[in-house]
Amino acid sequence: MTATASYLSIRDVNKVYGGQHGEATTALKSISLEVKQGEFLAILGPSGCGKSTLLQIVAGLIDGTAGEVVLSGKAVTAPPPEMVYLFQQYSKSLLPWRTVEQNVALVFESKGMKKRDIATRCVEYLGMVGLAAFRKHYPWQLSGGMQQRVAIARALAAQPRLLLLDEPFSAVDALTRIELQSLVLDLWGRQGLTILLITHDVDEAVFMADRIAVLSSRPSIVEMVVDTELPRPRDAMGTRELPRFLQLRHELVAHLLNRQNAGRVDA
Amino acid sequence: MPELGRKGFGLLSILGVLLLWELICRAGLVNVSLLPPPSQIAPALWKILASGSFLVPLGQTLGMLLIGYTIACVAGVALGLLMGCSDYLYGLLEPLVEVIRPIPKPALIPAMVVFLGIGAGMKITMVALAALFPVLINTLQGVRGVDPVLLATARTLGCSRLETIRKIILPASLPMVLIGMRVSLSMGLVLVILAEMLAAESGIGFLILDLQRSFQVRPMYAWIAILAAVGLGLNVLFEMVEDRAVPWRAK
Amino acid sequence: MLSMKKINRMVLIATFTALATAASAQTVRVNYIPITDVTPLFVAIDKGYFAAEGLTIVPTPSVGGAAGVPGLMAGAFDVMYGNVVSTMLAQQQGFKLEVIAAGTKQFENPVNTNGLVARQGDSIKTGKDLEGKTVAVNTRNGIIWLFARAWIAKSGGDPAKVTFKEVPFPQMLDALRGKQIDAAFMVNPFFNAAVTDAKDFQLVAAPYREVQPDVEVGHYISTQDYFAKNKETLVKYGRAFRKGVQWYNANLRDPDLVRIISGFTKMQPDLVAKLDLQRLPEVVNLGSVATTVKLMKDNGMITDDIDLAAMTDPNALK
Repeated sequence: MTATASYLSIRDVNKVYGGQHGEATTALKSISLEVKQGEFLAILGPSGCGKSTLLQIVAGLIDGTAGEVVLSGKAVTAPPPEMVYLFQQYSKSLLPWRTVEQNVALVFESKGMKKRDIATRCVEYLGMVGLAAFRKHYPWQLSGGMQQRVAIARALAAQPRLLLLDEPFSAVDALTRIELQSLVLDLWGRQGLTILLITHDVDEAVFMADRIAVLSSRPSIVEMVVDTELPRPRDAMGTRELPRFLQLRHELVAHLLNRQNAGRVDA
Repeated sequence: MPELGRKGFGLLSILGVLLLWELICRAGLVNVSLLPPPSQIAPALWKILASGSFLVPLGQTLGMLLIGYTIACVAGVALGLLMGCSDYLYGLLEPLVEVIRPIPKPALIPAMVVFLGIGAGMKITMVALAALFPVLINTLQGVRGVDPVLLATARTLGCSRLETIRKIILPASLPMVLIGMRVSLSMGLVLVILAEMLAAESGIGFLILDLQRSFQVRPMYAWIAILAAVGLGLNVLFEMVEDRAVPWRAK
Repeated sequence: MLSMKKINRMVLIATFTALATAASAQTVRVNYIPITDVTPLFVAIDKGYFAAEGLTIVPTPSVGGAAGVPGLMAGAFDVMYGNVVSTMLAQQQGFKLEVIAAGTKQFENPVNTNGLVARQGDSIKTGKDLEGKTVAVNTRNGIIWLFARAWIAKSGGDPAKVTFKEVPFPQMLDALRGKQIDAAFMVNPFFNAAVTDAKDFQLVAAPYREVQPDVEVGHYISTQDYFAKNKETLVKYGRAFRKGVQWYNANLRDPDLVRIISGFTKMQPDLVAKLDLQRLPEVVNLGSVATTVKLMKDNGMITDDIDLAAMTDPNALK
């Protein structure tokens, strides 16, 4: 099921801002990660450590200052067709003048498909996220959680092999978050996707991922990578009560807190 | 109920002003030959409306306004879009825009009259010139202000440049474009009236000046009232269009 | 060598003198059109006739009676030179005006001092030729406009088919040259420049002469209100002004007139020198005015009769 060669290679990625007219700040010092196909990798780190920047470099949306990203053996310089990015501000990624269905349809337009076929496919994907009944609604008529599900449906419709999620659940309430996490895991399992998830929520990282890469604060490096070693399928309640879950969670939180405190002492 | 109450208050203030105006005239505080009271203007207004004599000048003025306005909107949106999407075109055209835009367009009327005479061509050109810039500037800002998340989404979903412009940039900048178009409508009206006053032989502007020249003050004010109603009507119409076209703008 | 102290002292003395003069003198603000018709006014100023009566005149220019009357009613000035047609229109609309002095009269002169001018080469001979074309008048609804229309009708044309464009007198020649208009009803001093010096123009007709040869074109008016409150001042004004008219009539070839006219019309002296000046009336002729009022009625400009005697200062009649 998993290939031995890396599906996605992130090598020595470095990102420096400014420098021309002001002080140069290094967001990412050197990030290296190897991701296997079908893997679920979470990237954990404090706010402002450059996680989003890293993800955007991997997505080909921005260029790194040094280093490279290789996907399926090809260097990434622009958003690859097999990749879809889910933004943190999901409501801003939905087109407000289009209905939910039309938003998903965006993926199928310019592919020369018949209108009826597009509609069928849209309903199919909306059905996967449980929003088939809302397909004629407009995004601003839906709750935050439902908007995020539309974004997920649209992402799936693009039939990606790599899904990049930028703190996708940070702006919804706790219950909705649990629902959406289960939904994503379910889809990941059934579609065989490779997922990179950016989060600052330790709970989320441990619950969802196969492996967790912990980033330091700026200038960021990969401080450590741990295997979650938790059984699949994950269960919203059950998995969270497993000893391994609690232990790993404890370790990570302690690590993050220590570093935070250490940072305070130094400063 | 609160909606009605608010509009009711607005009406009250208009009536209040009219009442004050009437009282000032009756008290002899102004020269009534120059500023007649509403009670004398109303019959003149009624006469103009009832006889239907308002239709021809109104049609002439609105006709010129509409043609010039349409030209300006098409050109303004096109140029604003081009300049917003192409850094090269922006660099090329922006200095030109910034030089012409601040010139008060009424100042160009005498020059335009030399080039274009005093007919429809001149009036339409003046309206188009005045209406062009608000549309252009607002379209430009709308295009540049499209949320980067939307643009990035388009990129990650594999939209080509043209597709992005057509499906994302244009609809996203529509609210700003409409704002520009609304300002342009008002400016266009001002210019067409001015052009008619200065150098024409038909339309409401010409009529108002002509009435002044023959000292028919009451009909002159009646026409000004009609003009105010026209301006108001155009605005209301525009708001209706806006509500239909961009229902999401307030969300 | 003028020191600061000396300059200061001179300024102080000048200011005091001006104030003193102003305090003892009465100011009369007069609105005029910069055409030769109002030369006697400036003669009277120049020769000190007004000053001798203790009056200081403050002149301001306008494009015509139709433009000036609202200003007069609003109190922007006290006396104005305007055309008879505009005055009658205003009176009909309830503006209470008073005629205080005679202005211009078209006498039976061999020499033309005004007329319809067109470009050389354009074949415009009758009113019919002007249909579909543009004629410049200083203001619409004034006497120039009325007589242009009357002439067009008289010579076989339909005035409704002619476009009348407002162009100030000083700018008519340029507008004609620049083909913005096809004909212009011009008056002196600008008319003369068109038909004598510039070989590019031709005289089409003299509308005043052909429609009403004895027409009183312009006069000086004030408001009935001002007239009632300032009878003394206006008597003095009338006396000084009459002297100006008399001096003017007696010295039509005097080089002084070239200087004066060039001053208030802004026309070059060498062009002004070529003008063939004609005499101006000292008194108002109510009969001529009545004929014009009838012409206005026939053209639908006014509907009721106007009591001319009631609105004319008796001093202006004798």
